[in-house]
This record gives sequence, C-alpha cells and structure tokens, in this order.
Amino acid sequence: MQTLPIPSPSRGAAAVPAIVVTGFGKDYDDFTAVHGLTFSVDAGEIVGLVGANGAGKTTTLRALAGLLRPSRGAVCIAGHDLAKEPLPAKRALAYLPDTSHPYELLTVREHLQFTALAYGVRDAAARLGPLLEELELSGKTDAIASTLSRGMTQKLALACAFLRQPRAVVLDEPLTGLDPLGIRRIKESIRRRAAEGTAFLLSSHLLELVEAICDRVLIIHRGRLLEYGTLAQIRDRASVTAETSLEDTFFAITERHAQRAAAPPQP
Amino acid sequence: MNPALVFLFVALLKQRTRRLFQALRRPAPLLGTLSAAVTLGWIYHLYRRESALGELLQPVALTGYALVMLAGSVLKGFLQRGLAFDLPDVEFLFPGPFAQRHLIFYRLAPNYLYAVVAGLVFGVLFNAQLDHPILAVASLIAFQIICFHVAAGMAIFGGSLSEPAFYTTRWLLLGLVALSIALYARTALLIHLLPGFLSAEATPWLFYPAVNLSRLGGASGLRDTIWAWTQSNLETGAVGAQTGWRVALCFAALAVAALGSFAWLGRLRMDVLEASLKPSERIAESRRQAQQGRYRLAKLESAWSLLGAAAEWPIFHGAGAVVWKNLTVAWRSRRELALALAFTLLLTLPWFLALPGDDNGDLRRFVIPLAIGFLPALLQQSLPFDFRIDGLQLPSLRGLPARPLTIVMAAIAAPTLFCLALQLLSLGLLAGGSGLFLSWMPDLFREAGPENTRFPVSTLAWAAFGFPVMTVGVTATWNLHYLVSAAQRAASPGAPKSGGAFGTLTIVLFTVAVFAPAVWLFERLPHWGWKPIAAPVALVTQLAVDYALLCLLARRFERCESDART
Repeated sequence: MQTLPIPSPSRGAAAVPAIVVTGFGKDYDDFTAVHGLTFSVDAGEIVGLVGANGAGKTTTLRALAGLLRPSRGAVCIAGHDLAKEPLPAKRALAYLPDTSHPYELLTVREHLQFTALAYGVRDAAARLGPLLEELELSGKTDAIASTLSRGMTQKLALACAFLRQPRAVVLDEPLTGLDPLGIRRIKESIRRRAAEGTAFLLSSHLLELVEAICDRVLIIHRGRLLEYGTLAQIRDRASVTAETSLEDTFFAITERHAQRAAAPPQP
Repeated sequence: MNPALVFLFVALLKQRTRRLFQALRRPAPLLGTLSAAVTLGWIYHLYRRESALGELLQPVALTGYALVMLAGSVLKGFLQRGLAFDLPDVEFLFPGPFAQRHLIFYRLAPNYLYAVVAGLVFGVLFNAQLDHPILAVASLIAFQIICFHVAAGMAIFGGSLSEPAFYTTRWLLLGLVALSIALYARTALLIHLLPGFLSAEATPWLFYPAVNLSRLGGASGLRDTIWAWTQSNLETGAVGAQTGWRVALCFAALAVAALGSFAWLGRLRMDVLEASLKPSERIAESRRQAQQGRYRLAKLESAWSLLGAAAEWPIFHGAGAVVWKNLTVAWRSRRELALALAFTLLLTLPWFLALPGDDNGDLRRFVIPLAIGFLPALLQQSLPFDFRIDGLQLPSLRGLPARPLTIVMAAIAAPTLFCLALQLLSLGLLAGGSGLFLSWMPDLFREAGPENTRFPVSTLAWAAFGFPVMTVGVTATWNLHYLVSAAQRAASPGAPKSGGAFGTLTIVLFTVAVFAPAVWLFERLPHWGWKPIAAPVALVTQLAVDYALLCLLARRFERCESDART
C-alpha cells in the first residue's frame, strides 16, 4: 500500500499544545451540561474522552469544533483562541461527528475537492491517491455519497479530515458502523498520524479501543471532570490493580463518585 | 462568496438538476408532469386576459400580499429559532474556516434562485396585465429577497433568545402581526375589526399604495407637503398618467432595501452556528421520517388518552382498532387539530362577513356549501391520521383479521370524521352566528335583513348527504397517492425523490378530477330538462366514484406487503 507523506509539525508549532481547554463550561437555559473542564492535548498525543450518555462529551467536542459557544472558559486550537480567532483555529482542527452526513448528491471526489478548496490544500491532487487507497475508497471516487454504506461514509469523512493535515483531530465515536478490518485500518491511520505529530481527541463507548490506542484518558461524568491522565495514573488514583481493564476502572470511578454525591454532607 | 462555497453550491445545483431530469425519464413522473403542465397551461391560456386576473394586481390586493408575505417571514423565521441548514452543511461548513456572513449568504443562495424563478413565473402569468413587466418582475424579486432576509434575521434573533424570552417575544410578535392585519383591514378594506381610536391618523401611510393619494390627502405637516407635491405632479402628468417612473422608484426602493437588509444580516453579532444546530437537526429528522413514509406530527402533547377506556368497546375491535389507533394519535396531536380548527375558522371568516350582503341568495344556495364541501381538500395536510402515520408499519396492518376494504375504510375514518366535524362547525357558525353578528353590528350591514343569513332547507339537506361523499372522495384520493408513493419507495429506496412537487400537483389535479363526473352531470342535466334529478344523480355518481376509489385503495393496500419485501 502506498503511504501518504505527512510532514512533521515544525518545532515551534509542536511546542504549543494542539488543544488547550481552560475552565470550559456550557449552560443551556436551565441546565448546565459541562462544568469547568480543563485539559490539554499535545501534538502527537491521542486522548480518549470517556463518559456515560449525557456526560457532556458531544457538547465538549462540539465546542472544540466551534459549533457551540462556551458559556465559560476558553478553547485554544494550535495557539488560537477559538472565540477571538475562529478562522485560524478552525483551519487547524478537523471534527468528525458521531454520524457522518455527507452531501447526498456529491461524489467522493467532489467532497474531497470541496475540502481542498475550503482549506486551501495546494497539493491535494498528489495527496488524494494515497489517501483514498489508505482508506479503501479508491474504487469509489465517482460514487455518489448516498450510495455509500455507513462504514464508507465514515471513511469519506475521515478522508476529508486527513486530506488537509490538521494540527488536531476531534473524533466523536469514530468507529461506528465499521467492519473489523475497517476498524483496524482506521486505528492504524490514527496511530500513524499521531506519530507524525497530529493530536487526536476521540470520544468512544468502545473502552477497549480507548485502552488500546489512547495515551491519556479523560473521564467525565455529568459534565464534571473525574479523571485525566495516563491509564496507569488513573488506575493508581482509583486504587485498582494494574491489570484492571479501563471498563472496570471506569465503573469503579463513576460508582465511587455517585456514592460520594449521594452521601449526606458532613456536619 | 467564498470560492469553496461557490463550488459547493454549483456542484449541488448541477446534481439536483441532473436528478430532476433523471426522474422525468421515468414514465409515471413524466406523464404526471406533462398532464399537470398541459392542464395548467390550458387554464392559463383560457383565462390570461380575464379582468379578474387584473383585479389581483390592484394596489389594495398587492399591499395585502406584501403585508402577508412580510408578516409570514417574520413569524416563520422567528418560530424556526435559528437558521436551518442541511446536516452535511453542519458537518462540513460549521467547523470550517468560513465567516458567518459567508455561511448566511450560502444558506440564502437557493432562496435567491427561487425568488428569480418565482418572479419570472409571475411575469409570464401576468404579462398581459402589466404595463411594465420587467420592472414589476424585478420589484417582486427584490421584495422576495427582502422577505428572505427578514426571515433569516428573525430566525437568528429567535435562536439567540432564552426559552422564556422567546415565548414572550413570540406572543408580542403574534399580537403585532394581528394588529397590523386588523389595521390594514380597517384602512384599506374598510372592515372595522378595530375601534377607531386605535387607528392613528398617520396609519393610512403605512398601507400606501392600498390607500390612494386622495385618501391620504384627506387625512397634516409632512403629509401636507407630500400631498401638495404629489398633487402638483398629478397636474403636470408626472404621476398617474406615467406610472413607469413610479414602478421604477418602487423597484429602486426595494433594491436598496434588499441590499440594506443583507448588509444588516452580515453585521449581526449573534451566534448563527449554535442557534442553527437544533432547527437543522429537527428539519433533518422530519425529512428522514418523510422518506420513511411517516408523516411527522408536531409533538405528542401527552401520553394520556381520552380513548383509553374506549378500547374495550366492540366498535373498536377488529378493523375498528385502526380507527381507535388513529383517533388516539389525533387526540395526542392537538396542535394539528388546533391548526385545522384555526384554518377552518379563517376560511369561514370571509363568508361570515359576506353573508349578510348576500341579497340574491347565491352565496347561501350554492357558493358557500360548495366551498365548505371542498374544505377537506385544504385540511388534508393538517389531519394526517390515516395511512400517512403508519410508515414502515403499513404492511403489518395487513395481518388484521378483516377484509382490505374494511381496513381501508377504517384507516380513513378518523380524518373523514374530523373533516365532517369541521364542516359542520363552519356551516353552523354561518347559519347561526351570522344572524347574531348582524343583530350586534347593524351599522356594518345597513341594508341586510335576517333573511340574508338563513340557509335554505334544501341546501342543508344537500350538505348532509354531499359533505360525507365529498370528504370520503378527497381522503381516499390522498391515501391512494400515499400508498402508491409508499410502494414506490419500498420498491426502489435509492430512487431520486425529485419531482415530488410535480407529484403533489398531479394529486391536486386528480382530487379535482374525481369530482368531474358528478359536477359535469349536475351542470348538464338541467340543460337536458332533468333539473329535478340533477342533484340526486350527481350525488349517486359521486358515491359510485368514491366506492371505486375505495376498492382501488383496498387493492393497493393488499399489495403493500409484497412491495415492502421487494
């Protein structure tokens, strides 16, 4: 398989964390979805965002992508404050929602052409072939998006994200709808790009996946940050053994938090 | 606009056009479109020089349309609570490096295209009645663009408000729109729905050109100056005799307003993206449900049902269960019912006001009963409590232990009953309420007597038989259309959905066609000397057509399962 040449980020760029979230909070009318979340994702790092349904994962990822405006705190992408410099910040970040909705009437090639135009990708033509091959889309370039399977649609969204070589990629449930081979390919793609310097923040309910590919894990529960660190650090703080899976560790942490929240306040 | 967005817009437009022509390559849509085009073209050819068409372009009417369009844009935009984008736009454009004004412009681009097409259609239709067709078409295009800008601005404004503020503003806006319409009715149509003290001296100026210059002149300061200026121009022939410059001035004003409103939209400081997420998702969900063949009800109001205990009644057993199910859904969809009621009252109001002036009795004998008889055709979209709510569950209804014809009749029972109830309400209001209205407001109809509001017994008897027959005809026709579409969807899920508008147009024409034999007989029999039997024969003919429609519907329904399997 032909491999895609990915330039490493410059030293100066690498020195700035790809994603910095400081005291991020999001309120809706009578409900606070996220309370003061603070974390950062360095270049070349893969961070997993883990939490139950309604924990605030999608709200956080959408705020990172600029779809939601934070009620409190700040989001910086590649050193650009998303509120003050939205355009450079957005250029540096790629966001993939949990369910991809491509333009039903455009072909795979037209989606990539549009991405190249929108983000000013100069050598798009040269990158296209290897990228399509890597994501097994070579035979589908002229296929209308509405004829693609869900897995292929997901791969098309990834191709659009990878084509422009962003500094950071935010993925919401990236492996939904993929077959086992597809899952392996995408995992390899993510690892390879991370090794080249791209930062990844991915949310997933597949805790085995998070355990397998993530350098650090962020556990949120009801909009609050419960844990953030390497798996070893989290296990250590949760007082579980080194062999305990992320799934068991996650349940141990969330259950302890629930018990603490339910306990009557100390006099 | 951003080059990437231009590329996207052009690529999508190209593909949509291609799909439309692809759809027309299939015989059914082609025949439907051709028949609709030929019928409409023929009707246009017959009536293009009718003076009634010219009446539609009178200043009073034009001002009324403009007011309704503007008020509709304000309300539609505000109630949408955010600019609705397609989901791919949310995924590809929102996180992209696009300025807010570029996204707004991209979102409005199809509307601009629509405005141009609608303007051209207007120009073709009313060419014979227009002195300056090019300027008139350009003015209409500019006005539509202003309406789109207003709707977009109100949508963004509505989306930026908190929940309580939104609901308060909604009532304020509704009140403002109602007040504007009532002021227009008082000023331009002389219908005094509002007491005089509410109508300020300057109000007529709001509705120019519905209120002519002489009436404006009758009403001081600035007005006197303008009046004197227009009078002097009238004398020199600059106004009135030469309407060209007035139309040009009107176009110039509208064009400046269109550009100004766009500049205003581009400078809005509100967050378009966040406010757009919810409406975009909501609209995508309704489209998804529509593609599955499920009519989307606004909202289930409550889980409680008045009909809970009624489920035990024998009438609701077997095929009757379908009636019970549809009535339960209807009970929980009170917004749809309220809309149908509001629509009925709105359509009854003009008759209510016109009835006391009906000296020769034509309205009471013929026009009003016929209009109420056709009410179900207008209520179809508001009362989808038939096969339209079944969607993917449609084939499973075939498992019911009843004959297809019985199931079909049960399925259309709920909307038929609601239509009949609304027809009865409309007729009852006109028959009973109009007399009361006349006695309360005798000044409004000085020459009207109580006899002007009484419906002949023969008409009421005709309505008792005619309304059910007409309602069943309309409901059966629309459900037939629905079942045929469901079968097509099941047979080819990836089939292009373009041509839907033509499909709807075809079914509207078909709805008219199912009444053609009865209407024709009703009209021809008196000419052949058989006047006394004209009404009964027409009624029996329509009954036969209804039965044929129901049999066709039952047959179509029987084939649903195999269609779904295909």
